[in-house]
Amino acid sequence: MTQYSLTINGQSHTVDVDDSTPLLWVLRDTIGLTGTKYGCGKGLCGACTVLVDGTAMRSCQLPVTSIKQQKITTIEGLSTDAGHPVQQAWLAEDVAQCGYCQGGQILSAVSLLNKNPNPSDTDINNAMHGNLCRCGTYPRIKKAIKRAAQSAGNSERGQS
Amino acid sequence: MINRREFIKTVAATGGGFALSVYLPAVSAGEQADALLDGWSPWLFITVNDANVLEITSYKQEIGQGTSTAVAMFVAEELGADWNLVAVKPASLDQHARDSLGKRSIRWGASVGGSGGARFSWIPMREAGAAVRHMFIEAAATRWQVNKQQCRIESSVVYGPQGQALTLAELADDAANVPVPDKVTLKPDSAMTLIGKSVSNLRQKDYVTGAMQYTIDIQLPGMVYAAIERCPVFHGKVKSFNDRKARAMPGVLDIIEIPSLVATGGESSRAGVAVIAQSTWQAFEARKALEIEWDYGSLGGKTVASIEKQINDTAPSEATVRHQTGDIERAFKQAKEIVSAQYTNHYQEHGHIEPMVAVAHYHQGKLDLWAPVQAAKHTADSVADTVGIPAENITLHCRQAGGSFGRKYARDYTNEVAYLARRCEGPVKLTWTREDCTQNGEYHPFRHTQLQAAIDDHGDVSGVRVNTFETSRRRVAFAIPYRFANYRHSAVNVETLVELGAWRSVHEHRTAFAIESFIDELAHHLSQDPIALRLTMIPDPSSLKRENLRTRAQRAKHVLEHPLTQQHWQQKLPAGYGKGIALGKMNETLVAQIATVRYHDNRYTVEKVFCIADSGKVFNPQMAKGQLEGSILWALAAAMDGGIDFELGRVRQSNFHDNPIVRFADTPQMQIHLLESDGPVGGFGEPGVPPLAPAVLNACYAASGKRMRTIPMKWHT
Repeated sequence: MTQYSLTINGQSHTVDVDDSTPLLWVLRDTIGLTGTKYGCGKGLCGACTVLVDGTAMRSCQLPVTSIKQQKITTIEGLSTDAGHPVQQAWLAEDVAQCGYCQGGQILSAVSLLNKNPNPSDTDINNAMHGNLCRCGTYPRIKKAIKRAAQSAGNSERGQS
Repeated sequence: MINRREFIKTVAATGGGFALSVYLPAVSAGEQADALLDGWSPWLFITVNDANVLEITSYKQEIGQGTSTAVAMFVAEELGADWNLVAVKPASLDQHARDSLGKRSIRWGASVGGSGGARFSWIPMREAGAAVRHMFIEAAATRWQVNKQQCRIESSVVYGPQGQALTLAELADDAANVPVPDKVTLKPDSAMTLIGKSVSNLRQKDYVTGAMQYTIDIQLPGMVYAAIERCPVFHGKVKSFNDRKARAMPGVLDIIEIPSLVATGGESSRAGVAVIAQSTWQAFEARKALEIEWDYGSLGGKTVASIEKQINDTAPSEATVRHQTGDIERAFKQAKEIVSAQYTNHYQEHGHIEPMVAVAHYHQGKLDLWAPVQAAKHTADSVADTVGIPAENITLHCRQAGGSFGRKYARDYTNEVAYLARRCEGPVKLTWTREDCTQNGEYHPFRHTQLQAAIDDHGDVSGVRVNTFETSRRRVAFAIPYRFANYRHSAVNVETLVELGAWRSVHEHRTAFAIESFIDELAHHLSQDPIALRLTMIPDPSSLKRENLRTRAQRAKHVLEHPLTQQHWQQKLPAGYGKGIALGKMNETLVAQIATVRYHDNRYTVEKVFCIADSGKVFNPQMAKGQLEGSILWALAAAMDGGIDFELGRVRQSNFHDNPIVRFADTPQMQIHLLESDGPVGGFGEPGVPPLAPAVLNACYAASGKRMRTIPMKWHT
């Protein structure tokens, strides 16, 4: 067991875990942030997606030893009231069915829009390739990403 | 006939306020109701709290199909509730619920499956809402000393003739004392303001914030974490094991051998060795250090070839005739020619993203269980048997499932966790890995279907013979929406290599693949249009006495003859493309799909799926559409790249890389059309699945000229 200091959703946490522990299980079992889901343990499904300094990564593939100063954002850190534009777009498009994968889907979308505020269909396809949804909500995810991009664009134009 | 006083059993004021419990059979009316009357259940509780929120606690489990929202819509519509003041939560099955039942089984009421959630509650839940409306109006009329005809409920407020207004919350205590009405009148469809409109799933906000508590998210004081190394071969046993290394791993608390647990009247779990640790990760890691010697048993060396050999070795006389009409021998004797084809459905796994997880706590002869069940009573009873305590001592806390699709109807995982909880201090959370899910599933069965058609002198189909070979212990139907004057279905059950279960659309998927592919082959052989040929095989609805059969025939015609279907079917495609059509059914919902496939570089890409469904009534178009889209993508994976096979009796696949599901970019364009018609209502959770595979493989044939008769088509030889 080793002590690690992690910055998650703007808060600092000190945890005492085995070195081999993936960030996923530190978040879930140690810190109690259960919005990040276990799906496959091999980085194949994206249910465990978190943002590491704003970029989507699979937390089941990140040993706790690999996290240094990076800021981690989980789905709980995006907003508590679903106020983030991507969450709002998800609500407007009624995306979720069982909901289990959607935290990961949303964070992959946030990561995409952070880098590319106006993504093409191909950009969206590429960015979302690693996130599986067995309920088959992909068409709505695509619409929600476009809606979020649009609303962000509108609010920027409104401000300028 | 159901007596209303029995239907809405009690009005229980629990600490003041309004609370109503509703009992009902699984089906609302019609011929099936009589057969299921022993399945009455306390099915839901309707309460109004101080914040004027109408809260509905339902046994109709949420597994991603949206049933809890549909149930709430039915109650809210009749009551006149403000949709923004409606909440749903899952029920717990406990002694109180059992006591209120008496000896009646609640198996049916407390389960979801067969696309029946909304279908079975459509009338009873509106009746419950109408009863609640009556009770609040009565309470208001008494309070205001006015005629109840002059009172009405709108947006969760009761209004009187002189502008009086009280919220449901303000009238709750009064309403709780009004007797439950003997008779209620339901709103006509034309007066409905909520049903038929696209409304959001009531749980959407919890999904997007990560607040939804799935079973895997449960944290309890003193909870320990379990993982099980199971025998890789079905029906195998633990011969011996060495746990010295595993016990030395960090956080390990105990190692427990676990036998195969046979669920009451059904499926069995696999024998294995469990690790109990202080965290999920520690349990997963320590499991790898176990040294186990297995006794693989008789299935140890087997593969799909063993099943195929059994099929080839079966003499025709060994088949049992399941269904026969007309003179099949004569039709084939007099045939001008006989068209034959054989189809194979391989085993399929579910691939729900939330793995199998359950939590149990055994304390002083009682057991609390938290699980994402599809069948509460069914699960609780089996757990009671496993632990050896009376069912009354089980409290099952139902949790939203992160996808189930039939898998969590099974009780292997809940029996496992209960077995471990009996041997542990404090609560135990059992988490299956993805590999566990892929390799220890309750699979969609392997089926091989032989079809033969007799063609008479006029070039018409004069008889059809079906032989099914299925890896199932059960009697399996081959129920088709067609009728042939001379017809015979014979069946052979062959040995299965794995446990079997319900997989989205169950038998319909296997049946539709065979019959819809075969009709396409016949159409090409006879140079007939595939839609026109199907229409000649659908029985005349007016000739059918049974309502469900008549409805199916009407709806089959409706979806096939619809101008949109015809328009899509007539569309010209460029070279290298092909279209295929298929019809499917699941209870009273009929679905036709037209797949458009591009054949290029020896590969097939499904570019578009047109889908038209007649379910009688559409309660919530956005959710119905979502279920059909999801069903198409579900079935697409099975048709193209899914499938489970074996090496030395072990499942070869392990995770999403070799048991893939459809990914984002592989989603075809989907056009969904919802039709309504008179008659009983159907559901939406599964009916989009059956026609997809045959529509796609028929389209592949049209595009390439190559006929594939196996799904997944990657295993076509």
